[in-house]
Amino acid sequence: MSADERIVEAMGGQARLWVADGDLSAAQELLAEIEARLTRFDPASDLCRLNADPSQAVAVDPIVGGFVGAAIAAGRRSGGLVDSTLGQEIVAAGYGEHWTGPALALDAALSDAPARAVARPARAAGWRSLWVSPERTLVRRPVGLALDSGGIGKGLAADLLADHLRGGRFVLDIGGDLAVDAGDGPGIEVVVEHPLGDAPAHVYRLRRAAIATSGIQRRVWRDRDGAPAHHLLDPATGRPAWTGVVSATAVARTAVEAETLAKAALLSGPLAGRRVLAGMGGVLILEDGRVDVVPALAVVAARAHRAVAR
Amino acid sequence: MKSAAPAARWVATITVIAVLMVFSVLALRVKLGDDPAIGATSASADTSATTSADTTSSDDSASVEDLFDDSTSSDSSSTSSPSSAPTTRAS
Repeated sequence: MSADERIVEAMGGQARLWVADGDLSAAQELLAEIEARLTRFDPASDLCRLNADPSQAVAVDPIVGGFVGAAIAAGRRSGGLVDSTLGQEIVAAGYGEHWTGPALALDAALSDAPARAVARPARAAGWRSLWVSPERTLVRRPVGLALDSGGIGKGLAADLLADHLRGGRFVLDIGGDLAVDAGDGPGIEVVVEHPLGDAPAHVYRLRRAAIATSGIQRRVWRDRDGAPAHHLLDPATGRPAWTGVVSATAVARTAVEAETLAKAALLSGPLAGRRVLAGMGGVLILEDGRVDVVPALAVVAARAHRAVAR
Repeated sequence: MKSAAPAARWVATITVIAVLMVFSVLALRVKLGDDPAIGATSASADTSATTSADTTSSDDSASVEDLFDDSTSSDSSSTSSPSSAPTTRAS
């Protein structure tokens, strides 16, 4: 069997699936199912029905339960900066429908944006009120809480498809969240796009990893008051966060983890963002175009530990 | 000199109590995730905790050592790769 590659519209963007030796049909079907269940733009989706359900405890499909589990893990992992329960806030900020194209140039948005400030976790964080059963088939949350699948949904999709294809050599790109497995072959190069320039910001050679980018440059608009807005919200205020970072990329073991770290790094700003990425590495791109490549200290430490143990 | 010893003991006792209180407050803030910088640092350092266990995603046995390929070999002629380099970007 030869390599198979497919490019499809999925999860609010474009997905590119590549496998060296295999058939992607089943993976593509799984991706379509994940999107149908997790989209917040279709009132008939499982996620929308969960958000509208008048009961506190709701029976769900394991994919939806998996998303809730991922949302809890992301909130915990990021100290509350990544909160998937800001569904009402993102609609209030002006992102209530499918994104159809650029509405405002990034430089204009940066020029008009409020003073830069790092984001903070919310005192009454919605993600803390989430509960999911071990089987991922029952969810409890306060009635009225609106879950937003967003980036965590994309990461989960990449991870679930990776589980499906594990053992082979593949690249699964779900709207910029990638799961990569080089199998027994050489590492696979992944380019980190520079949002403000033509040249790549960085190139990683990955073996078995996930990589995700969180950035504000692709979805920028003016809200009803004329203020620039984007989709990455400060949980403490429920408003778009302007931290001085326009793009953050994180490497991790799973795409959900990479997505969580990337978003937390962007929301943390240029200084604290480095600490967020310092474990498994990543890239920060600042408003002035500077590229800050953060080394993977956990990888260095693990290799040093192994070398000493020999 | 006789009165110095009890005073020194009081100072030492108060210092120890103050240090314990500071560390208790810091530990509580990390636990509650109140401070994103503290929480993020803690999360970054905790590489043994993986989201996969909580998300039914990829297995958590993957070592961080397997993330990158640092080999100097560039011979990939016999191995297929994507037609163009995969790219991570905000979407």
